[in-house]
Amino acid sequence: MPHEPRPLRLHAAEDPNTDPLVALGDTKQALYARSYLFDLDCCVIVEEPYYFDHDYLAEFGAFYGASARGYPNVCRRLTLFDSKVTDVATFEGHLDAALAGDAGAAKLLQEAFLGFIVLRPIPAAPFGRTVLRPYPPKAGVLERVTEPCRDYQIHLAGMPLIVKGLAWQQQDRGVSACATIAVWTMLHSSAFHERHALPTTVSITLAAHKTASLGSRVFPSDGLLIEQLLEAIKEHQLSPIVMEGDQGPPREKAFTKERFCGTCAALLRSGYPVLISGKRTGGHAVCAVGFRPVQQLSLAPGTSGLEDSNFEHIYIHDDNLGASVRFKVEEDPSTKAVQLVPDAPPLGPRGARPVQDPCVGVKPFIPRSIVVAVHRDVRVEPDKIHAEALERAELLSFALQSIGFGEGVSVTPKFVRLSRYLHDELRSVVAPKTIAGLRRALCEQVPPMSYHVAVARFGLRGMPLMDVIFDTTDSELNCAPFAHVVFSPVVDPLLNAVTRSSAELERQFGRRIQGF
Amino acid sequence: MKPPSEQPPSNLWSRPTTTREEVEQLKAALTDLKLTPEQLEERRKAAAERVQAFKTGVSSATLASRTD
Repeated sequence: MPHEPRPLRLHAAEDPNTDPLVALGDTKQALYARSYLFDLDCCVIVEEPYYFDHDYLAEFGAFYGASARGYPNVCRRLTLFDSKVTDVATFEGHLDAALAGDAGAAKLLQEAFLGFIVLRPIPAAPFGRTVLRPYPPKAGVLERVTEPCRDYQIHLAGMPLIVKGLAWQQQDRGVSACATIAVWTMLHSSAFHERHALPTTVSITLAAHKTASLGSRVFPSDGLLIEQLLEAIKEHQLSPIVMEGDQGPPREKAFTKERFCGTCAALLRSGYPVLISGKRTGGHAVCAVGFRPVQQLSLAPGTSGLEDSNFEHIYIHDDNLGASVRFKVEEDPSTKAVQLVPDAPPLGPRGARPVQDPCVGVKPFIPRSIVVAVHRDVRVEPDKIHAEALERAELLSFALQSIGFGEGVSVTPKFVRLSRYLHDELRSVVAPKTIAGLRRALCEQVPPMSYHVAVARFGLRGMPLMDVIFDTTDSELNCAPFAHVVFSPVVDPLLNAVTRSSAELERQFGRRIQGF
Repeated sequence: MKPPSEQPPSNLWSRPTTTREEVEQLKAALTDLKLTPEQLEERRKAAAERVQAFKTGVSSATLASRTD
């Protein structure tokens, strides 16, 4: 049967009779999506009855098209708007005006646009590609780090709308399992926006089985080994890095909070989503897409630490729950192992949510290992940069303690494109009158640097001291800094105190560039 | 400079250019600081110990677990 033409359908959010999300029933994913959208003040839902989705078409070709059930090859798409559009009738007026070329109406709709949800015709797993705007910033706390988010442009009857987010979907167990979805989200990251085409879940599952199938069938897919995740990443022209927990017996490795938070923060600040493999009731994989930094207190004299080593909340795409689910990072009191516990955000201005918390009863998730996809030229692992940075911070803290200063040195590393470091990162810490000379000095006085660099920022509470810029393209044994950018006059005597010669100083910290 | 309680929250990546007087005053004290090679060597060893958590390997036991 050919598809018959049908009109767009406009719904008031949470209308018990017409909201398509209400019609999905009480699955955890549907309840979570409704709670999230309620907090975002969702007011109007536009339902496109026919949406040919890139991912679902691939799933249809690989699996559902051969089913006796007679699946259609087309999805529905929900486009979501907040209360700036007031109500359905007013929205319709704005939509018609925008489609007629009214720039003011188009601007209003863009401002009200919250994202979209593709609904597949798969009864047990309807949630396809879903991109939702993160919660708005909150006053009085540090803003969430959501660097992996990217822009997605859609068209509603030809009107372009842009949302910044990161794609999530539900596992269907036909083409994808939790790990497939986590890799799929990971490869959508802003970090790969420039050079890599967006994969489908089908291409990820096929890639995972290309060389590491070990006799298991490809479809239906009900789980992947970590080796298969790594192979899938490699097949998509990226490099996988695995980091396992740093404590516990071999089969039950877990993470200390410092290493888990420090590693996730460095990767997320770099724009790399973090696949976390671990145990809930059975084996499970999720993808961390952001975290909330916390204000740092002074470190004790003579000690060093990672600035992001004790954040409290991490935002996770969990295919069993939803997009950007807020988890509290807790330490088991006896083992000190990290566990992630769902922790719904406080109620927003609209008050109580219309549905029960879908995360109630969800058991803590214990991370066992971390997998991340990085650019192929990034050969140095985050652990190495953390170790190199902390070792230097320890020496600097020791020197400060020797003169009776009452604070230790903190450090925060990340991977970044050199061009972005020069253009964006330095702006937050260098005075405008200094920045031109600093950028030229980094180009003219430092040996040629790699396309991606690892930057470790050292500081005392409230005050950056210097950046040490590491090469990312060499082996672990040869890992060395290109340069250090000095933001304060106290840095030079500090570095002189912890090195025995100018040659050692350059070997340990790279070429000196003045940034104040 | 405002007291810490009145400043907006910030971190080393988001903070605008700031200085702290007590830090700036360290320069003179640091200029005369001499650490002996033995002190530095001892501290380097302690630093290497301190970062052990970041020097773990990957075990096949972890790799063999299936996620679903």
